[in-house]
Amino acid sequence: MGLKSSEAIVIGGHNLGEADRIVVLYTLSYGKVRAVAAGARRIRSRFGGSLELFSHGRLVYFERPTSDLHRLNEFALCEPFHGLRTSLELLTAASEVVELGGMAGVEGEGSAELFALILGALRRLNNGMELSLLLRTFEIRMLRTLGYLPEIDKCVRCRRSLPEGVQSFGLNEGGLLCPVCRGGAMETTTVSPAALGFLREALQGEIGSSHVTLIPEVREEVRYLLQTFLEFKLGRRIRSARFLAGIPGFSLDTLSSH
Amino acid sequence: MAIRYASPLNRLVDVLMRLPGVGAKTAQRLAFYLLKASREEAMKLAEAIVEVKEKIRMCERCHNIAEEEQCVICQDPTRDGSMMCVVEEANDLLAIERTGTFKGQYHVLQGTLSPIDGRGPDQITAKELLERLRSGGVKEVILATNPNVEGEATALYLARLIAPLGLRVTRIALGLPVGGDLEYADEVTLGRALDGRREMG
Ligand SMILES: [Zn+2]
Ligand SMILES: [Zn+2]
Repeated sequence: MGLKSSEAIVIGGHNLGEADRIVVLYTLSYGKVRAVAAGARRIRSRFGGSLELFSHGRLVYFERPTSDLHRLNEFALCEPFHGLRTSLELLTAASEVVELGGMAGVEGEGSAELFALILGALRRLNNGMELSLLLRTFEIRMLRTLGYLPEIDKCVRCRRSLPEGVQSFGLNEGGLLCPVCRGGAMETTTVSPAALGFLREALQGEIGSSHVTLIPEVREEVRYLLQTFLEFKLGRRIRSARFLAGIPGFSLDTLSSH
Repeated sequence: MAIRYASPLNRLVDVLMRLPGVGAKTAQRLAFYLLKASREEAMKLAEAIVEVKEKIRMCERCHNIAEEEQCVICQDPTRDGSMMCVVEEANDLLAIERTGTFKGQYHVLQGTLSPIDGRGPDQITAKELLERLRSGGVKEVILATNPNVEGEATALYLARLIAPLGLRVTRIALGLPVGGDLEYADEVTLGRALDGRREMG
């Protein structure tokens, strides 16, 4: 009841009325929280620039029991992540991290695993990590956190082991399909052994600890597989993931963050 | 169940509710105020709305608000044609004009880029900006988008878009706290921000 406090990351927001702002946060203790920051857009606002996208800090808010829109009292900034605004590529990659965090997060229900995943990815991006592979690592881990980790070791349907070579991935089935089971499957996409190797590696250790490199074709294959599967499972397009595709001269593959 | 008023009143409440920052309660209060107001006062408001729609348009050069094909700034021969200040909205242009610091040309983007909202370059007047710059005359472009994530994304995009032209590209920064709207900056802060602009791209 009343005042609540939690570690939080700003994952979204939009303007409200004259000078207020609705801020969307992912909090460690209470999951997704939407709160109104009064006067946040005024140049001399008490919030300063602390409520900008990606900010990590300590949130204090007044919970309104009858509404899912609360009142933001205080946000003590820990990490502003200014480095994430130094290129459009980096800003777009970080946007995908918080956008997916918002799609996966639930109001009123905190997940320490999801919180750590979002914060870990932002930190890696901010500290200079190859962008597209970090995003792919983030995406496969996000699927695991959501309980949608695809079966990539045996046939998802009959549990038999798979022959060597290029595999078939069933979107509806949520995993690889053996030559017998893939017959009746509706939506499938192919996955190469190199792509599967990357996915297995990406699930190990700390986020971004892997040193795997991929040729452009395999990179594109992994991107397509993970984004298609995530959008299929979440039932919504990931806007940031498609953002740079339509802009000539910008690509996540041409630039690492620093 | 909401009370249904006579239909012209409903219609007025409905259109007022579509205005930014106006909710159901405010719309109702405004509608009843207008209902009680004199015919003359109500007509004055109605005429002002019609007049603004008929007489005010977008400047064909800079996309500022204008009463003719070009806005007063584009028509002013004393403005410095070698400097161009790029802003998000016409409101920001007015804010910078109030400082009296800047004597060059403007370009109004009419929006910002936002990866997370899926707003790309085709939703701002970036193509028109590039065409203007290509046609020559401008030596320095000042990117005066808001100091928030959308404004930064827009500035980063524009800086690379116009880099091949070899112009001096600067970004206003100093004096403006991150996260604010330019429109609300006081004259001193905004003037200092213009003086302290930095190189970009
Ligand atoms: Zn099978
Ligand atoms: Zn003009």
